[in-house]
Amino acid sequence: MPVKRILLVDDELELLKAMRIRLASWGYDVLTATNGQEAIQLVRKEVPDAIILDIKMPEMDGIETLKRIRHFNKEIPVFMLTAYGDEERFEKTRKLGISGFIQKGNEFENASEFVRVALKGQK
Amino acid sequence: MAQKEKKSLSEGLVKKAIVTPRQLKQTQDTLANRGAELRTIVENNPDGLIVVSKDGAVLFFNEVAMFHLNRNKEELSGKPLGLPIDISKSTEIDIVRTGGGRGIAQVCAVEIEWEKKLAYLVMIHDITELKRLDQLKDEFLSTVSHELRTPLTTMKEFASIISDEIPGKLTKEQKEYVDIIKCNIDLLTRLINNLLDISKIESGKIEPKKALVDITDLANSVISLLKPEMERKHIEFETLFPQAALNVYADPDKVTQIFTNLIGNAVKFTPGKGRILIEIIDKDSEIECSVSDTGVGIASENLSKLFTKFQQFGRVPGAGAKGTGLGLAITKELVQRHNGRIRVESELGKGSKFIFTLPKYSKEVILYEAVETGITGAKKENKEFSIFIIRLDDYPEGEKEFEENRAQKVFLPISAALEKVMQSGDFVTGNNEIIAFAQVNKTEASGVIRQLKMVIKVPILEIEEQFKMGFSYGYATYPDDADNAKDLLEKAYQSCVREREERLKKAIMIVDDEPEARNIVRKILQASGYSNFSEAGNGEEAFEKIKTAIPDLLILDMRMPRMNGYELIGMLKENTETKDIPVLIMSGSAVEIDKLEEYIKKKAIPVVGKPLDTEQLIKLVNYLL
Repeated sequence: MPVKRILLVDDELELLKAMRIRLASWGYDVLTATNGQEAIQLVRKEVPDAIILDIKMPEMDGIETLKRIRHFNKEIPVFMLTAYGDEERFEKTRKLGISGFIQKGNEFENASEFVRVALKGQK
Repeated sequence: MAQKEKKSLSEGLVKKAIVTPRQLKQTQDTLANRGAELRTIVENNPDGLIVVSKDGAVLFFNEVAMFHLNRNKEELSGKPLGLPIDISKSTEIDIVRTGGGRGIAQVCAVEIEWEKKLAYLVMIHDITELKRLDQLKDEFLSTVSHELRTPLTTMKEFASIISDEIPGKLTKEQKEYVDIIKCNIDLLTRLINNLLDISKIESGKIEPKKALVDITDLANSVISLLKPEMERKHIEFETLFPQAALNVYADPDKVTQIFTNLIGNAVKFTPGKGRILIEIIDKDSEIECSVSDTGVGIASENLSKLFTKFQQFGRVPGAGAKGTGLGLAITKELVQRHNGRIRVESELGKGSKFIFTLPKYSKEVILYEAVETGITGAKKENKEFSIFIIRLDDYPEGEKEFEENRAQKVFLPISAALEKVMQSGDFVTGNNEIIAFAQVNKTEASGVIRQLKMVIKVPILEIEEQFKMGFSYGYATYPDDADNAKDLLEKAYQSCVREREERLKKAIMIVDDEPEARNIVRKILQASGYSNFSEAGNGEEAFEKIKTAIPDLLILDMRMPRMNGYELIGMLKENTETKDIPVLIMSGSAVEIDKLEEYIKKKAIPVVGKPLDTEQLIKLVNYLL
């Protein structure tokens, strides 16, 4: 089975590194981006199998990034990284095609299950 | 004579009171001074003060009141106040002060006696600055907690990576230490989260998102999450729930949080092999839930402090997640937000019992609240808000089976149909009504009711196969028709009533060669409110009459002399003005469908048998009109 590739997007570099190490330890190939523009380019060029996208980013936030990605790719499963208590605010954005919300600092360890399930549905 | 009497009387009075003119003058001066002093106090009071008579007219006011309300003397004295007067609670209102400054004020009222009559003293207290500070506090808290959380998250992730030995193997000691770091990061995170929770709840920022939910269901899902821990500690647990689902009108997430906190505490403070009992009791006016345990218990001197912030008792030393001291404070706030009560009974060393109640609401209140929430949401987002009421008439009281099937049979088809025409919507059942509300944009709004009419007929008719029921429907829109919940509901009801009234006035033509048969049909329909009838004894007569006045519905017997029903339908089909008249066939024998050709097939003309089935006739007529 080919190694699944995940694009990880967050503007906080150290956290990005931690999450990359975690995902790599689960056996994923990890691409990283630190802002929305970069993420969109990577999605176009590399077509990852899933995206983990921070909602709160300067300049272009996660929702805007996702909207732009959905213009040209409607299939990729996307997980949004949220802060505690923010989920409700973003519940409405689910219709943009969000596979799940991952709460920062609380659930990332358990996020593998989420991601695995989403990737299983793909060919 | 009269003059004399008067004089002597006043002389007598003066004598009796022994008041000299000088003393009288003094008293008058003192009174005048007091009056001036009191006026000074009233005028310099920072709160607006207004006295309003029982029937709502302004009797007295101070300068501040004029300033806050931006109304001059003439606009206030004797005029209606135009503010809510509620002696049971204070209300917040937006104010535009003289000069255009905007602000928020708190209005409260007390009953007083004014000129020997019952009146209200209304006080307007400017809370603009308080509100601003409160908002600053909220923003500060949310910024700080976010700033604190970001580094914590990174710390947590790296500590977990080390603990999971991803970079390399750890010694037993190293692993122990890094796990302690991890535990404390978790505790800090929980603390921040709880603080954020409690500040949001206390500031009233989080309004419970109430819905009708089965409370036993919520409790069970919490129990299943905590079950592994209970089994690990060999805790025996028992639930005493009512047999049937028990609906409460509450925010499911918040009720889940209440159960999680209380049952979680019970599990935490109950030693191995203890017992936990969870009870839900359906009482007359409220629902009572309780969690009892055989845990460490709480000393009586600590009971009063239990629900305050940062209080922790009976801390279990050693392993396990440490508490934040905020759980019960949050729980209490959440219960109170739902207008419930919470209390505790406990004995040190024996165990504790936490009891909370949730009020039961009448369907009307639920309906009203739901609409109000909808309006508030629409106002906030500057959206248009529409409400639809589908009223089920003749709904048989106590029809158990229907009650149970309502959700599946009425709700789902309607909700599915409505979803197609609305951007977002919600549903509530009232007594005999289904209320659907939606946020729609202006152009859509007028079309929706028409589409609604088309889609709701089918599912409701399916129900009518089994239950005697008619329906009418109405709608109203915020902000055009109304700007508050009460008004909106009222307007929608009115439109509902109007729809029914208009329908009952529609012209029905009954065509049958037997006068007796026509009479029966007319009487049945009259009994359910219809009033506009015409009759014909055969197709030819009917055709002549239709030429002068086109009816809204034709109830047609097929076998008639001269021109029969088939022939009449054929004739009507030829004319653009008459081809769309709805037809209801009334026939003793099987209808020869092929005779009606395409016409009947296309229109799917319903048939009632003879002898007449009254209910079926009424519901078909309701449907066709």
